[in-house]
Amino acid sequence: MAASPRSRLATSRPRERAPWWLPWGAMAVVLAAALAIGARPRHDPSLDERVDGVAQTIRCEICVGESVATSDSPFAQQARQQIRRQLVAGRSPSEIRAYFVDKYGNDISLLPSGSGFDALVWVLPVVVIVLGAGGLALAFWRWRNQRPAVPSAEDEELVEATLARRGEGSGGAP
Amino acid sequence: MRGRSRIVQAAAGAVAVIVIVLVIVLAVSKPPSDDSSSKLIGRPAPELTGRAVTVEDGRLGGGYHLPSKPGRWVAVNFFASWCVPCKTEAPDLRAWAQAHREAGDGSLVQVVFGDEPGSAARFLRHHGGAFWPVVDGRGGVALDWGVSAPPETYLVRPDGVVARKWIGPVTRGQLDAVMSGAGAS
Repeated sequence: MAASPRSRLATSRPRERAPWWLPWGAMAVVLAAALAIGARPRHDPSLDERVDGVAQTIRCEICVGESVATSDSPFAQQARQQIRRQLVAGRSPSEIRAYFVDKYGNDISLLPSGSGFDALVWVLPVVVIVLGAGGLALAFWRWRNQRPAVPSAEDEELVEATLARRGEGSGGAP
Repeated sequence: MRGRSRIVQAAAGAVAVIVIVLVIVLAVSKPPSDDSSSKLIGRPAPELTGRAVTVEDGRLGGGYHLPSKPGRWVAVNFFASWCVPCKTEAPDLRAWAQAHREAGDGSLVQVVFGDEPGSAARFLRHHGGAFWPVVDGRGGVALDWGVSAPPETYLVRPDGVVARKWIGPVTRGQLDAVMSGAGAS
């Protein structure tokens, strides 16, 4: 009775390999746990921290490369007061950002929007990660399925001829 | 080896195509809006409420509220005593306000931006002579109007819709041109 491929494999290896999905599953669990721990706020943010969080996403209109969180200009001061008033009134950060965009245009938001040219900021990293993972998977697959190089008849003749020459050379040496 | 060089060539070609597309998109995309544009133009003027400032002594007086349909042109000017261009435009604003008050078709409201009422009143005694200096009564008026830094002036039509915005010093001629272009005197 011929042995099945599985039993041949089992007899040819000293110990059984772990299931192929185990390392992937372990990686997924670690990744999910790290994301969950990283995304969880350490404590309930105070009103000042919430104001600062929104202010960091609003560009100071009269500054160069500054948000209203860091600038002391009259505009930034009024913007921070407005953010505070709106947070106290129960508005969400995205609603507050929408207020500023409505008054000043899209450029005032330091968060790229999810549409138009700005959407590339969100889409490109995902595309790069997917392409990179696909490329790695393809490379691993090709390496795994690479057959060992088999010498051709010409190669074997060449080796034999070389060995023969060496043999002759060593035999003739004093 | 040949296969690998083909892959490298294809990747380089793809990167080149992406760079060219990005350059084209950035080149033909809409340029940043000019100084005079505002998201408010063509929309009803935001709420404007505040407390009047007594020019003589800087004390706060009664309340002010811009009607939703004022029935005449209203120039809403945001200013501060520390703002140098505000001094430049002050004589023109005063002349425009006097002329249209007499004609009965326009008025000027000056809103104090980032300044103390006392300083603003002192400024107006020296440079202005405004008719409705007001301070923000509830907070956020300047932001509701989309103001970044003084001086900024909005011209509101009699039906309460914002007709035009100026960033920087405005002249009497600019204000009158918009009014006459819209069929007003």
